[in-house]
Parts: sequence; structure tokens; C-alpha cells
Amino acid sequence: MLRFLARRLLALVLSLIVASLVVFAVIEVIPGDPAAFMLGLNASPETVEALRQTLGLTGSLPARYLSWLGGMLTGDFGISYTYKVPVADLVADRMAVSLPLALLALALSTAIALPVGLHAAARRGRASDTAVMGLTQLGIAVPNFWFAMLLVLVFAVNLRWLPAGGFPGWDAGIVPAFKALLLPSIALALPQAAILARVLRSALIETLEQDYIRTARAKGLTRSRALTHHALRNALVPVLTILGMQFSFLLAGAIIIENVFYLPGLGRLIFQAITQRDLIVVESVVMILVFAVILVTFATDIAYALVDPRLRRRG
Amino acid sequence: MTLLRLDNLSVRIGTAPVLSDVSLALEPGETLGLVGESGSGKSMTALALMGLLPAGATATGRAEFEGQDLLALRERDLCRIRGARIGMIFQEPMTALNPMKTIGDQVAETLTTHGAATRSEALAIARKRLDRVGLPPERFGLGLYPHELSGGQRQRVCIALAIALRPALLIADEPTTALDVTTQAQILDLLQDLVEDERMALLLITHDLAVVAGRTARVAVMQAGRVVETGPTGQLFRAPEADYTRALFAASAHVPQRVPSVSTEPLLELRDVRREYLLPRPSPLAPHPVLRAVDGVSFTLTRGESLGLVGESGCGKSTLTRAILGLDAVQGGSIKLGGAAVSPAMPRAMRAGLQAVFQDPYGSFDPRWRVERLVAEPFHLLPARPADWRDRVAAALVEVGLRPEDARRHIHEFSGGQLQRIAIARALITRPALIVLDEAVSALDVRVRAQVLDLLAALQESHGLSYLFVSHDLAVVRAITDRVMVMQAGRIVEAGPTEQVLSAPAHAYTSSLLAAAPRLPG
Repeated sequence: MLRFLARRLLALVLSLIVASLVVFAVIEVIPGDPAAFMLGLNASPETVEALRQTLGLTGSLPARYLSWLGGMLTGDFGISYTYKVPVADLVADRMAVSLPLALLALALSTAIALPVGLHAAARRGRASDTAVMGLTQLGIAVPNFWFAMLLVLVFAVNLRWLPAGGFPGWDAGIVPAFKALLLPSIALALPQAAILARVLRSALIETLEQDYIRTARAKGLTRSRALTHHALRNALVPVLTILGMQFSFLLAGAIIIENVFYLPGLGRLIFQAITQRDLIVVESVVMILVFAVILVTFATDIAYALVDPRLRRRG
Repeated sequence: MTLLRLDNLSVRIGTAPVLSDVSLALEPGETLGLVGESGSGKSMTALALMGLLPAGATATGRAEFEGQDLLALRERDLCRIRGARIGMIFQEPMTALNPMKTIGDQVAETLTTHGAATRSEALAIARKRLDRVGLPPERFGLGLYPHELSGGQRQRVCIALAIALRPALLIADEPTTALDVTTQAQILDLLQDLVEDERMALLLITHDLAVVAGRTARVAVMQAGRVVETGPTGQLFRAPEADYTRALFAASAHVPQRVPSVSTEPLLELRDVRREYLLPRPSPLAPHPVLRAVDGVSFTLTRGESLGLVGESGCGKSTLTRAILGLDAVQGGSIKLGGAAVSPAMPRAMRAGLQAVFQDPYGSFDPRWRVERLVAEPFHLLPARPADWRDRVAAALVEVGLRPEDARRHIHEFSGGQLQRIAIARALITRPALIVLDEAVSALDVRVRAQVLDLLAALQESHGLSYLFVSHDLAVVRAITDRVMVMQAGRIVEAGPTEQVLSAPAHAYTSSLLAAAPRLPG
């Protein structure tokens, strides 16, 4: 298991280095002069030169790459050109919204998908399986912002249980902040839960055909006990794969939902940074997201090994 | 009191009958062999009385066990009987255990499921049961996972969990079919010991008459969902009454008529062939350890000869076969076919002279292709497909005993034996000099196997073919080969004329293979 961890860690570091090279190349090298690009067509040469100085675009390519990398390693991501504040602070503020939102959505989607998938697999082919699978089809087909608007109409406008949007900040207390995140996380979680439930169902059905389920039944296990004690763990690997992908998506891909609910999250930050040509922010946020995705992949790999003893030995 | 009594047990799947009026009785501690070809309903009988029939199947009649009709019991009550009063083991030990759970947990689960013990007591009992089936604690801790065990060891774990609660009846459904002969003999011995020690009744289901010979008190022979004959084993083997049983015996002992090869012209020559695999590095900087799967093999196969290659799984015979077919490169030595070197880079025309038939007739074909396309596929090896290719396909089908019309059909319309004939037709279509038959008749029922062996013998004579016949089945090798080689741990340990090697083996390993192989009396 230790060797497995060491190999995975090595892979993690290598992919981070490659990713940083790609991000650096795409943003600094390919579009020509970033300073001129950021300032637009009408900027005077003096302003461009001044920006080049602030951006640190004056050294050689390798030197710039190394100083950028070194800065990130020490937590210095530079100063945002549009917001005039350190990118690190900006990202930390947004993370305080996006990370809890993603985690909450993920927890909700798992909490919905697990019983639904188990139920559908246990009653495969019967009416309730067909009904539940029809609902999940709907959950995948309907865009999440439409769900979001429905939720706002029902719970914020009509029932007035929850706020319709905005984020009071964690300083305002856990409960108001949590209430602000609840509707958006439900809107994010529903389509994910639908996908997850379908994946779990088909993985379970495949597992239920296996010989060891027959062995378990011959031991005297009931159908449902064989499902929960033998099939579930074997069906988890594809489910973990989807979960890992969903988390990465939820972290940065929630931009539409963030807009519907006026949430100051990462998705909106990166969208605004791109429209305002704030390359420093774009570069840093992309790098942080890459780091997050690689970290999640690493965690998924470890989860595989925890679930499946056969994977612990291989590298 | 009779332990198990089946009265007119019938099973249908949808409207198709799969079991018809099966009546059998088993006394406590008695052993009964249930023998039949595939599809005869022997497994279905076991699943019906376990209440584990596939979806859509319905059972009628009576299956009385310890005074209760199993067919009338509710699912909840059946769960109390399964595993506790009736234990069952299955054919495929490689997949019969949950890969995610330790073997200790899986044996203990039988006890905890029935509330017979707490988890820690159950683990202690599991330890004893594993000791009993020949998995001692020094080498086989409770914390091992199935993938850390061999097939035979896994089957022992399955037996341990089936007997954990000392059931009155143990059902063993083809328990050794997937195992090597020496492992098979050990597992059958173990089952016999257990039955005697624990006073269990045993229902031993098998397609192989030789497996029940001398091992069960009585035998029932099944055909097409019916029991055609029942009797004490010795008597039934001496004087079978039903025509079907006689046909089975005749097919098992069948030796096709062949003309021994006389040519001395070498066709396939192997000189000191080595095949090595790199294993994963033990640590990131260490070199790869090397596994030598084939270690210095040399032999010559002459034109028109039929040469056998026998050995147990893992001995390297499949690796060697792949090298001979030019699918893998060798790490040392040389392979020559008709004087030209065999390698993955050899010209296509050379491959046309070297064809193969594999074990699994279902896995050997693309199910979406018609037979004519399947059989004509080796024409890709020639510079151009001959203009009369359809005629040639038709001729090849006739040669293997099928009809020219079969060319337009898909493979799901054929039985296993017919598919193996199609595979032979495909191998013949480019008129090769050598056909490698890798366990080509192992998956077939005895009567079909006898027919396919006859076919192979006839084709060899009419086409002057050479065969390299790879098999674990000594009886088949004896019937169809001129010479045989015995392979163990990557080396040929003994080679010579088949009759001589199998009658008077010179090497200890050959003797142990022969001793372990189940044999029909007489």
C-alpha cells in the first residue's frame, strides 16, 4: 500500500509540473504580448511598458516560468490587474463559497443516488425501477439552471423559507450562509444524482450476475443482504470514477448556478477575469483548478485501492 | 428416513421444459453422482432444490428435504436451509468468491448469516474449517484475499464455507471441471473424506463419467431433462442398461481410426526456445525480475505427424503456443516452419500455412458476422482473395460435416460442436500444412468430442495435415497423437511415442499426471 501511495504521489507531482508548463505556455507565449492583450488596442506604448514591468514580463522565458512557479509555491500569485488585490486573497474568498457549495452538492447527490440506485437494482425490471429510471432520465435531460429557477420560485418566492440569492458571508454565521448555499447545491446535485444513480444501478446489476453473488445466496443470504453486503462494494469503482469527475466539475463548473443565485464563487471569478482580460487571475485560478482536479484524482485512486484489495499491489 | 426425495420434479423456463419428471432419492450420508452432457438439466436440478432458479423459471412436483417440501417453502425459510442444511459449491472457483472480502470473512459469513455464532466465534470456526480443507494457518491466514490464492485453493475455500455449518447435504456442481488433473484428484479426495467424517450426503454433479467412478455409491444419468438410468455405481459401469448411457461410455473410450505418420521430413523445428516476461519492479529503481515461462524447448514435428503437448495450467504451454503461431517474439532460440523463421514479423503468406483452433467455440467468432465471412477470413493472408472463394467456403463446410447453406447463417444458430467444426473449416480454408489445436475439444461433450476427433483424423489423412495438439486431457491425446511431449515449469520433461510415454512413463511428473487422471473402469 505504501508503494502504491508513493507511485501515485510521484504521478501527482509530475502531472502538476506538466500542467503548469502547459498553462504557462498557453497564456504567456501563444497570444503574443499579454500586456498589450490585456490593455486592448487603444493603449499607449508607455502604459503597456509599465504593465509589462508589473507583470514581470521582462525576463527570459525560463526565468519567468520559474519565478511564477516559485511565487505559487510560496502562496504569492501576484496582484489582480482589475481588482488590485492579491490573487491569493481573491481566490481564498471565492473558495469559501465554491468549496462548501461543491461539497454540499456532492454529499446531496450521493445521498440521493445511493438509495435510488440500490432500490432500482433490487427491483430491476419492475414498475418502481422503471418509474425511478424515468425520473433520472428527466433529471439528466433538464438543465440545472431551470431546476434552480423552479426552486427559487417555490422555496424563496412562494414559501419564503430560503433566500433567493446572494451570499451573506461566513462571518454572518453558519446558518444564514448554509441557507444561502442550500438551494444552489440542490440545483447542482439533482442532475449529478440522476447520473450517479444510473451508473450505480447498472454497475449493481452487472455485479448481481457474478458467480460470487450466487455463492452468497447459496450460503443463505437474502437477496437484499447479498446486494448490500456483496454487490455494493464491487459496484463502487465506477461510482467513484463518476464522483471524482463530478467534484472537479462542481468546483469550477457551477458558473451558471452561481449567476442564477448571485453567488461570488470561483466560476464567476474566472468568467469575469476572462472578460476583463485579467490574465494574472486567469492563470492562477486555472492552475489552482488543475491542482484541485489532480488532487481529486489522487484521492479517487486511493479510494479505489481502499475499496478493491486487488489494486493495492499494482503501481 | 430419506434425506432428499425428488418426486416428478419438473422445471420450465417460460414455456420450454428444461426438467421433466425427475425423481431421485438420497439417504443421509449417501453419495450420488449426477452425470449428463451440457443442457441435460443436472445443474437445473440442483438450483431447483436450492430455490435459486434463474428468473422466469418455475418448478413443479415435490422436492422433499428432511420432511419439508422445498418447492413449497417461502423465500425466508429457504434462506434458513441454504448454507445451513444444504451447502453448495460451483464450477468456477476463480469467480465464486467475492474479490473484495477476505477468505476468513467469507467463511465466517455462513455462520453469522444463520446467527450460529458471533463474528469472533465465527472467525475461530472459519479457521478450523480452513484447516480441515487443507489450508493451514501458516500459509493461509484469514486475512488473505481470493486473488492471492490459486484455483484449487479457492475451491477449498468454497468447500470450507459450504461445510461451515456441517450441512446434511453438500451439492457439488462440476467442482473440478475448471481445475488441473492433479488438483482435481485432491479436491475429489477431500470431498470424499469430508463426506465420511461429517456423515454428509453428497450430490456430485459432473459431465465426466470418470469423475464419479469409484467415488459415489450411486449414479444417475440424465439426458434432455430426464433421468434415463439410476443404479449403484459399480453395477451401472459394468452393465449400463440405457442406450444413452452405453453411448456415453462408447464415446468416452472412443479412439478414431488413424494411419500413423511415417514421414521424416521436418515441418516445425524449435531449437532452444525461450520466452520471458518482465514482472513489475519490486521498487521503482530495481530492475524488472524476469519470469522464464518457456525455458529451452526444442523439438521437431514432421510432416503429417500429430504431436501432443500436455501439461497443467501455468506450465508454459499457452505461451509456447503463442510463440509457435508467431504472435509473440521469442527471447532466445529459433522457431522454423518449413525452413523459414517464425516471428511476429513473418510474411502473411507464411501465416496462411499455419492455422489454429482454440478451446472456446463461442469466444472464437465475431457474433455479428455470417459463417461465410468467418470461414473466409484467413484469405486476408493471401495476396488476393480467390475469385471462387464462396465455392471454397462451401467445400470447407462440407468437409467438416456441415451444409453449404450454413454459410449464410450466424453463429448463434449453431451448437458448440458445430461451432468447433466451423473453426476447423476456417483453419482449413488456406490449406495450411500445420494446425495448432489448443484444447480444441476440451469444451465439448463426450459424444460430440468423439465426432470431432473422427473428423480431425479423417482430415489429417485426406489433406496430409500436421497437428500440434495442446491439451490437459491425456485420454484425448492418447487417441489422436503419434508422439507426445510432457511440459512442466517451462521445460519439456518427457517426450516420445504416445503409447510408450503414457503406458510406461519415465518421468515422475508424467506418472503423477497419469495417476491423478480420472479413469473409467475396464
